[in-house]
Amino acid sequence: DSQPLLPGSVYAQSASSAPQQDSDYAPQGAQTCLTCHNNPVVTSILQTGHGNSNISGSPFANRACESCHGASPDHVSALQEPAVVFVGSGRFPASDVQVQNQMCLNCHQSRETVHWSASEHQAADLACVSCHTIHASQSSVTNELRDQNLCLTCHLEQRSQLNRRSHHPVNEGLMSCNDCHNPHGSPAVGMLSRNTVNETCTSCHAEKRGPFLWEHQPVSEDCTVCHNPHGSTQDRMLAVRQPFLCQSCHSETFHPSFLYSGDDIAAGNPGQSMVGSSCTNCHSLIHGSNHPSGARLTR
Amino acid sequence: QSTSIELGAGASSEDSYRFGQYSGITSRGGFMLGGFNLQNSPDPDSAAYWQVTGQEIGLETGRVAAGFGERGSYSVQLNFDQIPRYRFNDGSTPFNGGGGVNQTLPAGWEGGTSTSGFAVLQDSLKQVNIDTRRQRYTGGFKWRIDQAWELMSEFRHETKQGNETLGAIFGSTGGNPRGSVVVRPIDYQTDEATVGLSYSSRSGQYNLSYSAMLFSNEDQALRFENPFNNEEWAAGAGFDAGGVGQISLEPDNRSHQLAFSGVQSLGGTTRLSGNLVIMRLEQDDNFLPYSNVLADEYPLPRTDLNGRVDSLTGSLNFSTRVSRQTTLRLRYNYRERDNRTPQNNYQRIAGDAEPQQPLLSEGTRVNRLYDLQQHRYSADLTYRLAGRNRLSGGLEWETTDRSMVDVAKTDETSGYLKWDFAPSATSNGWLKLSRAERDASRYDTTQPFISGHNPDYVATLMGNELFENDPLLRRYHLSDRDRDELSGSLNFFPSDLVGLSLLAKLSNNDYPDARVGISESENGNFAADLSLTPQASWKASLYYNFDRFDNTNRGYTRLGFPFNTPFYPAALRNPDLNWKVETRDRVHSLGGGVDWELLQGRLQLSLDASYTDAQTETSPASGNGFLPIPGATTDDPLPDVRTEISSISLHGRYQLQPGRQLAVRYYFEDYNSADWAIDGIDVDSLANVLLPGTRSFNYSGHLLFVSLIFDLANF
Repeated sequence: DSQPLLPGSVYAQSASSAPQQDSDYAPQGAQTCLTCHNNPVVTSILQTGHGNSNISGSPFANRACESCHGASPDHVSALQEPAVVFVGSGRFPASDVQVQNQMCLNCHQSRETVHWSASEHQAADLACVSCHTIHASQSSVTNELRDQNLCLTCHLEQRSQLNRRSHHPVNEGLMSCNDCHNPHGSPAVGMLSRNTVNETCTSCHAEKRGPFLWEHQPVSEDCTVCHNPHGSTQDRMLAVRQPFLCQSCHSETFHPSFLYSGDDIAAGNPGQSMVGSSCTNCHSLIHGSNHPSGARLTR
Repeated sequence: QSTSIELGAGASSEDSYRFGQYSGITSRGGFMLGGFNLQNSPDPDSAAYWQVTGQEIGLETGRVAAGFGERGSYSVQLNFDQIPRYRFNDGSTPFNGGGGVNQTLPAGWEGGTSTSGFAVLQDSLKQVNIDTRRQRYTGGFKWRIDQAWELMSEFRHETKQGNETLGAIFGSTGGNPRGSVVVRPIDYQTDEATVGLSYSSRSGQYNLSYSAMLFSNEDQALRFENPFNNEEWAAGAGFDAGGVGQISLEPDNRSHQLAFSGVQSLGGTTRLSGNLVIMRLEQDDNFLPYSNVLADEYPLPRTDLNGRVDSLTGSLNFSTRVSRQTTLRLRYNYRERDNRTPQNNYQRIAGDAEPQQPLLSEGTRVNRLYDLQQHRYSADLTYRLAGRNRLSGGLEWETTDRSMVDVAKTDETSGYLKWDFAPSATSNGWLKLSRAERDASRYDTTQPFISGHNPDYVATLMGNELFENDPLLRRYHLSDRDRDELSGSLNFFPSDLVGLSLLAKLSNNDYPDARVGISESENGNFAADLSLTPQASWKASLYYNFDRFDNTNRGYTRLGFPFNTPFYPAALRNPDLNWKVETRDRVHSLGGGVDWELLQGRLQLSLDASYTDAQTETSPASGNGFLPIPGATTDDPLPDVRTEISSISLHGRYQLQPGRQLAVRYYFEDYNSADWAIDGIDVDSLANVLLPGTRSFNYSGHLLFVSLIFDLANF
């Protein structure tokens, strides 16, 4: 049979090498486990949906603790290693990540996680419990995403970029990483929540998607050709300062080809391609123009 | 979580748009704020729930979320949130209109051929405040129909209102343009709705959805009077008194998207997943006339664009555990952008209210249709060694076809090797080496010119005249590129009390054929994190980041007669007109935080501090021996652009008595910046462009919030 993706008595089969029988499960269910594991860190799960037996499909509506940890008769009788250990300790190391994650995916296979098996996080052996705290009375991920500590614990380069002067309001708590990214996997680069970079950006910046009469080619291809969305030392999250960014692709006769230097900011002689908004002082419709004479993105 | 209400007040010490750029607290003074969290009492016998929360009520960042449902059966969610954005309030403009679509000059305006001739400018200036705010209503529901089927729907209604600056010009770039940075209105609305159906079986999960997204802009055009009107202009120069210009604003658009995604178990640990998304984007706003005057003499080829872009994206992914040690992942991605907009000849008339040039074929432009078709194939293999060691590697090939650009086809091949190691139970790390080579089929700089001009005109030109840009220019997103990257990480956890993480990355991009354009760029990052948890009641962390970014841009000064130096052939180029600009970004970030729990948990304190120092050095250099030509080839040094941001944040919460808490939040920010593009640049510093005359931000601000939180369950 195919490997099941949905809940049922197959939990333990996905986790341990030997198929498990009804008789392998603790006869008293959670009460058996709580006899020893009766501390707040563990029992807080009773305050969550996972611990509510009235919720259809929840672990406690099924095999209780063993729905996720697998039937562990040897653990009950002789304190041997449980079938599935999520957070390892010196005594019992964490189970294989794929075994752990399969336990979660048995129930949580959804629209949001459909690309998990091919995701970068899966390839990096990230466990679901690396981000999610299951035995917690609050939705830890939801809360933690708001202050970004969770993602930025690993993504240190992005943490630094978000501290730069020009950035999306992530540190300010008005956006979260998963406004743009799907940490459970995506077919798009960078695990973006939409299908392409541009589709992700224009979900909020819809005015820039046109289609314009006069398109600016990099705009139609990939916003990150010019912008660094995690933050930049330049205004408007530009990767490089104007006019030098523009001159990377434009070297026409006269002003696009000139060398701009200190001479162009000197008092009494500043250059109109250099100061203020630089090139976009005039080419202000840089993302595209719908004016019939707007070929140079000035109208 | 408990049912609670928060009532409080706050005060800010600073009048600064930057200090309050995302909070909306931009002026000195006090304010009230509140919050609430209302929810049903925990009931172990019920799966039903409801919850309503409100945060920062009273501020421009206030948000409300409400949800109810029955866990495992259905859920309904409604949210409201806001994002303010304050840019600056130290600019000025002579224009009336308050950010509307009609920007008029004050009565008695005296124009001039340059800004120095604006006799009444200083007396006419009005303060400019630039800010926007997004307000977003989102919601949706999920209904698990049965064990296999789930129906979902989501909606979003988002508005963005405020104003922004916009360059509005008369005249022709490349000639003698005159312009004004004016204040334009922002009045956008985006509506999006999705409905989807999911099916789950024991071996697979599949999703089908339809989405529509409608964008509308209340303002289709901005009209602006010409401050450069003056009788001193020579007849026909194009700046007649009373001239009114018009610039198009973003047109409405709409998209429809049909998406399928799914994952299928093929037995054991083998999975096949993928998606297919078809999307159509359309736009048909009426065009503005070529010109405000003489519109009848210059008929448009069509009244609107009838723009349409079809796109198709898809992926197919196969993953399996070949053995207990070996994991294989194969992926294929496809992206197609098909611009099906009609092409026409359009006159390029430089500006409104000018003596219009005759309808010449060389003045005609054809709208380019940028199509793109991209295939990406990748394979990754991971082999687990003993312990927590593993080796992994991957290869990827991406081939992209484009239309109407310099390069018809690029092929990029990349690969990586990664070693994850764990020398002991208390340490681990990884090392990764990657290389990518992108090959452009043939760099043909005539393509943009040929595809963007009237074919009748193109037919009259010689081969060496078919250039918009220097033929030696290599655009960095299209040209040959070699990318090498080395990165690694080390993590030490000598005990449960201490953790140290180090991360380093070095990336180099080489553009071997770029004699004009970016020839090289290099990124480097280093990060160190130290975490301490000496006791259960307090923990601390410290971090340091260093980022560097070097970019080398090369150019060739191309002047017209009498300094004419031909682009082509290359042998005739004057090496004295070559130039190079090196940009170096250096960013240091240092931060730390401490969390305490004191008085048996009655007092919780959290202190965070950060310091960021970002510096951009720009070094121009020219190869000229007998020049410089002022404004064209001089290579005087530029000052650094610098931003220093220091901040301290303190959060405290004290349990006064059962059911009552006192919360205190304090924030301090010291901001110092310098930017040569705006510092010392006044409204009339440029001869030909009227600017807002803003300055870099420099301030020290304090923000204090004090509130009482009442836990209604224990009050």
